[in-house]
Amino acid sequence: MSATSGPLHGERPRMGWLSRAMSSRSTKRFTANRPAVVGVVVLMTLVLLALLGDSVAPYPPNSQNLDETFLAPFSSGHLLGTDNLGRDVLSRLIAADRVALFAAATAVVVAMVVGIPLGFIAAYFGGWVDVVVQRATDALQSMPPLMLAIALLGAVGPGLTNAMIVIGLVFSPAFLRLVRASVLEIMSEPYIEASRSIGTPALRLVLTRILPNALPPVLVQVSIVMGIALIAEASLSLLGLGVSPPDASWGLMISQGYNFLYQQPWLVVLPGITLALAVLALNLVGDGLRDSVGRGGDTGGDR
Amino acid sequence: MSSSVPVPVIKVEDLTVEFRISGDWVPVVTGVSFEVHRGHTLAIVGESGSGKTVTSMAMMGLLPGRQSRVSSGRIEFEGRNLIGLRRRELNQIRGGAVSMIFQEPMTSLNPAFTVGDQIAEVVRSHCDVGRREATRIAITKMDAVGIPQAARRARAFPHEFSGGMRQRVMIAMAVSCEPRLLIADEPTTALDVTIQAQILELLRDLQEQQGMSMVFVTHDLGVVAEVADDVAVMYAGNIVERAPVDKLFANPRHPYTAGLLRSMPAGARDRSATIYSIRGAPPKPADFPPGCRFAERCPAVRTECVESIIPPIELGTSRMVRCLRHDQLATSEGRDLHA
Amino acid sequence: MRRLIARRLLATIPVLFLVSLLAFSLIQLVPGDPAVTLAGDSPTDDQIEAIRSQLGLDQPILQQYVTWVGSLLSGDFGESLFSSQPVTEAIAQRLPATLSITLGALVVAIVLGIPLGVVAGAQHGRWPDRVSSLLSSTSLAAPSYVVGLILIIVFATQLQILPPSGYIPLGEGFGPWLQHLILPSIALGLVPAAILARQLRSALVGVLALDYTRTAVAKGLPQRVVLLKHALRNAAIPGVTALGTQMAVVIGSTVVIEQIFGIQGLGALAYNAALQRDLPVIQGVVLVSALGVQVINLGVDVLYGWLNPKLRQA
Repeated sequence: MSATSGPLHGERPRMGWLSRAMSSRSTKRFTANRPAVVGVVVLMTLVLLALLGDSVAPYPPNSQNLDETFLAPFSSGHLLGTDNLGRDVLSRLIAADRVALFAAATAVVVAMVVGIPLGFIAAYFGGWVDVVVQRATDALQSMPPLMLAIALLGAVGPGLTNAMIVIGLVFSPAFLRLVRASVLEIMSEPYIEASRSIGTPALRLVLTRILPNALPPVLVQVSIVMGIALIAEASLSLLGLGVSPPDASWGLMISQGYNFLYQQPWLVVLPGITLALAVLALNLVGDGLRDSVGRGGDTGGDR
Repeated sequence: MSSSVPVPVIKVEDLTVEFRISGDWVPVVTGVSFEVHRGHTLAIVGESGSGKTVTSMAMMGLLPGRQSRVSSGRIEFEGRNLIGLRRRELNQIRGGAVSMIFQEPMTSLNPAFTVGDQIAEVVRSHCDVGRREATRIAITKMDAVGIPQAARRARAFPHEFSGGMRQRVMIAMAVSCEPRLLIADEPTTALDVTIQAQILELLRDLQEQQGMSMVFVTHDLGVVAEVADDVAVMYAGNIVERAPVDKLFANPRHPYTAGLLRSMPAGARDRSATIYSIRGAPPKPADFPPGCRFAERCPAVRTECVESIIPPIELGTSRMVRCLRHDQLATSEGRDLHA
Repeated sequence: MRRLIARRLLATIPVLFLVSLLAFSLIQLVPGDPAVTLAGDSPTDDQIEAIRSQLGLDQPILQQYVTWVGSLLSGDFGESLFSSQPVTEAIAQRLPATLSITLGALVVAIVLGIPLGVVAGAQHGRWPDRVSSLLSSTSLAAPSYVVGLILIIVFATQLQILPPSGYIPLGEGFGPWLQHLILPSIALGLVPAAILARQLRSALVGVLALDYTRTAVAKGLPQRVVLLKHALRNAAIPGVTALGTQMAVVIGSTVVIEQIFGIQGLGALAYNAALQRDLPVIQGVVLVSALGVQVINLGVDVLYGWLNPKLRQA
């Protein structure tokens, strides 16, 4: 921000941002945070399972076998047992994993696609645009999220895709507010004014200066919102508004399993634990990101 | 227990404080010794990083617990060693018999409580009085430090006061229980020059009225001239010279002190002369050299200076210097060394 | 302070206006011809027409909206498409149950969250902090209904010391009312407790490093006073905000919890209405829950103003 910064004075250019990111202080701080690293490992396992899906699962998730119902975990041929229709629990968990990750990703993508541009526009253009966007966000946030989701689903009709789009919409204010606050803060920095005063075109300013600095907090928010979206999907499926039988979803497995609590409690416990693990992993990663990147974690100088 | 020499209000003996820097315990203040008698003021003067604030914090037991510790030495308040006291016992002394004011008046008051409450709180915990009486005393003290309309202002919050006024509130809080010792850590540094003068005058008045002793930490020699009876000059964690104020200004015996005095822009000197500054910078605690810590920047350095720690050398009553060449500095030839 | 409250109340008006727009537009979001979709399976033409006129769908949109808002303001929220029960009546019937468990959740959040957060903040870096952080992370990961199910399994089915379901109105006895509240309140309140604890912890760690904390210590005040009076008062502010947001979320979570615990509250009403696409009821619930959130926000702002004197004049 002064005469002693910039490429001529040893500051690494933004072109090498990837290599800079990999070796940066933030990455080191993240990797030093053990729970966060555990979270990343768990997440990567889940993603891997989701991607490999059918090739890894021992049985097709929906194939029934009425001779082998309610088997306990570690029974022969069924590592985690079977449910009331003889379907292999492990295979269903993996299928549900894929559903869950896809659902959460959809929701987050929707939230970002809606929230980030709007937040940026509100901050960049200001004035009445900002006021309108803010009031609309207020209205959206003035409702309990799940209630709003249910109301919207009641109108447009149930189904997993609808559910996740709705969830994404409901959580877009989180990204909107974040980006708006970041951009506002950055735009008031002296170096932006300086760039403007020497005639830097607006688009270039946005792409090279404003956006890269506004995005790190978004990263933290992504993992948090994914965790919430996972839970939301499970809740909606449990209610029958999301994934519908015979497909598998952790939430659906829990609600169906609840009916057979006496015959086989594992049918409730296993999906519950898996769901909790996934969310915990996301939270740990989010915490790690927040501690290591946050605001100014990477841009702050030596103190 | 009669003695012709009264017990000093505060006596610091060979104090060493260590900080945990990158995992290791590093001494930041070593071998600090001084004493202050009743009604006197000692100024501790030095640059940032000299250890003067650390010393003052150590005296009040305010050093952060996990990153710092007093590794040796004594701090005796009226004969009683404060180091190693249990928290409850220390709390009886802090705020009552010994109190402290800080550098940043803007942030030193709790924004959630009224000014009157915060002063009354000290009164209630140290003098045995009830709430109403404490508030009355608080208003009296606010008045005594020059806050207009004290009774009304006592119900105001800190953010409704200016910096100078907040510092007066801090002073009122600090002297509310008539302490025997007031430690002031750069109380005027953050204030305008005109306010500075007022605050200094206020402190001197209070000192006279209450027979209070003061330890005044500052980097400003002008302030030293105004308030101090004795001066301790600190550099890189050591006291390098200690003397009564007039002798220090007239006849400094340590090259650093002389350098400091020379670098004061003073109207009395030749206007055409460039402002002198000691070149270089003080060493960081992790890099303290084995010998004299000022050697690198000293115009009078000799080989024996860098070999081992310079011991404190007593020069008559109440004068001390850590310099092997202090004799030379006393002569006019020595003064030429700084030309 | 009064000006603060007045300003807050005034600010709710545009929000409620926008929420009403949202609630109104729900009907427009129904795919296809709303009257047909909402009439259910194989409807007769008469039924379709009945719905069309009941919902005013034959009028131009602006007129629909104005009529609708007009009836809202006079207390008429329409009738359920299925039971023909006035929506206001249905909501009034279900409200006490939801209110009870929501308040219960608040109590749980405060009783668990504050001590956890304070201990973690005061002892940060040491083992009480780590334990507390672990507890909060775990609570955050478990969705409220999983917690609810576990609680039912443990306390109702196995140990049999608490009822597994149902809601007893306060009028029928304080003991039974309380008993039925305990499990759902814990299930709902754990996550807010965890979030409150975290917020308190981080705010406290920040405040304890500030100058005015040092002043309080220099005044010779006991540690307990420095922590609970001087530090907490300031650190509570972000915690209060977070708690307010969480309580709004809790209202939404009642949908699931009421299903699990068999409570006939607003959540269950909303859920059934969504399943049946009973739009007037859905709209009513949307408006009422938005109102509830506004009330919570008002409470948060008032508390905020009390904690932070600078805001009182603003």
